[in-house]
Amino acid sequence: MNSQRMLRKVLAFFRRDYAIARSYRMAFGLEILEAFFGVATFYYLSRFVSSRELNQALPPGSDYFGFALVGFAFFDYLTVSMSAFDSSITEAQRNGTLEAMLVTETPLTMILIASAAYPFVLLALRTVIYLAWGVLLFHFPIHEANWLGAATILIVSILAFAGLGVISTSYLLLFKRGNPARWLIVGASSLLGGMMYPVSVLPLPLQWLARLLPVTYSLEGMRQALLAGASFVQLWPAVRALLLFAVILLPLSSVVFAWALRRTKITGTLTHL
Amino acid sequence: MAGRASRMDDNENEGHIPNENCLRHAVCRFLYSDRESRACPWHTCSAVSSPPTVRDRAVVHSELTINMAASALVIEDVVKYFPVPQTGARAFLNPFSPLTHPALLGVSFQVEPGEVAALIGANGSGKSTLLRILATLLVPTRGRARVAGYDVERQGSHVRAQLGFHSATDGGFYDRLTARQNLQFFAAMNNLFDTEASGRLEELTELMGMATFIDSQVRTLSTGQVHRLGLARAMIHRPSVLLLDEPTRSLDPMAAADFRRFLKTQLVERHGTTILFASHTLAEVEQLADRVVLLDRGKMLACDSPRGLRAATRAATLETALERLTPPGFLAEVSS
Repeated sequence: MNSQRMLRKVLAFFRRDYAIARSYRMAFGLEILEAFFGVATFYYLSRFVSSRELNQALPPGSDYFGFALVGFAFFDYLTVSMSAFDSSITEAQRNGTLEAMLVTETPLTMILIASAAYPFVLLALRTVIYLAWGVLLFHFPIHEANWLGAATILIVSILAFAGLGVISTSYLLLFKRGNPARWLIVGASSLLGGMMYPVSVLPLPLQWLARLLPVTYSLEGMRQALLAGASFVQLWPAVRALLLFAVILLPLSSVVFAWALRRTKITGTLTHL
Repeated sequence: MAGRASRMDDNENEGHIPNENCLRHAVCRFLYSDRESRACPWHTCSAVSSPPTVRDRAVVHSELTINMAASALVIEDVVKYFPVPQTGARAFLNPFSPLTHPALLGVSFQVEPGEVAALIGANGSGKSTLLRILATLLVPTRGRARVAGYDVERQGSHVRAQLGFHSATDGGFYDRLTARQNLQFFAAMNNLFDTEASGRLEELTELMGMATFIDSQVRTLSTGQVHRLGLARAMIHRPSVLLLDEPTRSLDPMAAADFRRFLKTQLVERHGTTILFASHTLAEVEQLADRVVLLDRGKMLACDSPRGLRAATRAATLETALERLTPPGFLAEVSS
């Protein structure tokens, strides 16, 4: 499939999801309001828990509000990666469009990738809203941010997370319900990945385990880029680790997904919920 | 590739020259009579004293080898087994249960370009399974199937470019999008450019009588309108082969008659589209089909034109012909 054709399909999926989202008129307005409540909660929590000991455990130049807001806003990229592919399949199974899509000239892998376009764009928008509330009302420090570095971390993070998401979708294709891959990855990542507290406060064995999760590198890199304005050289270890995850997980997930897809075509359960 | 059944050796001994590409006539010869088979120099046995047993037919069909290149659809000894669904602890302990439940047992036939073939059989006879194998939604356990010369298992994307598939059993649309937005989306999925898709959409809107609801959200449409939309979707990329699973199921009698006329005149006669459809309505089959494929519990009992089936069984109607060809109670199950 050539790139122009691929792009057109991604656009078609985006237009579809946008048109569906637009038909629920209030949802977007509520999203903005929800982001405000989230940011305000972190701000007042940070004022309550702020102490010299805590600040020493945080990366240089950051306070707890900035630390927690980045952690909270960017952890969503993992949860969306883990759910976007799953949701696109379950939603299509539920409304009966999966079969109709599968008999078109668009392969399921392309359907998966294109279905994730809208959720990721929406998430990026949500992240911007979170940061905007933080900057406008709660003194979120962005004056030193390395935006290009942050974008690089974000892109390689999405690639690494997408591999995990596709593995999770393969499980869903095969077993339909109860997705332990998703539960395990999101659960372990929220506990060990440093979303709300630095990895350094964990016991040493758990710190080692945290190093096996891409989200740890993603959040570290993002905080360095946004809060400390780290240069590309300083960000390289995080980028390198995330690239390594992507290089291993993307081909592995493709193989697992192809096998799961074939298996469901053999058992006749491809469109079953 | 030669199309020969064991019984045809007799003809060769009598000095007839077999047409190497003429499986269709070989099939017709086996099934005793067909309007086109009379033109075949190889065809010599239009008169048979008594219809063969169901077993005879199945055996001889499975011995046929098929002309893979020229036909629009080739189904060659297709076997499909499903795993037996398990629940509870058994399902947990054995998530990949073996494929033991038979759905198709060695089905072989072919459909020529521009031909309309009907699949008849009771629920569970394997009609939908066969259509889904051809639509690349299922993988056959054994055997081969080709659409417009492309193998459904190995050349799925080529196959999908050639076919349109519609099943009346599911809606399969985005309820909150309009009919037009839905069709535009599926046109893009079939690699149609926006301008091409718009033109095709206008054409189909007129052909399928969708002008009154094309800009309405799908959730506001009636069952019949959704069904018409489904058919329009299957045809949006001008497929050369159309697979339809009970195409007139949710249409009222007038709409169903209109639709059958549309299939026959617009698609088959004007554009030469090949159609394979599953149906429970014998009148529909008789009106549309050039060829009838009779399935019973995964086995093919017969494959011939309605006229051929009537002649073979010396029946006045297709219904009587099917009664004579099938086990007792079959027809009641088909029309239920």
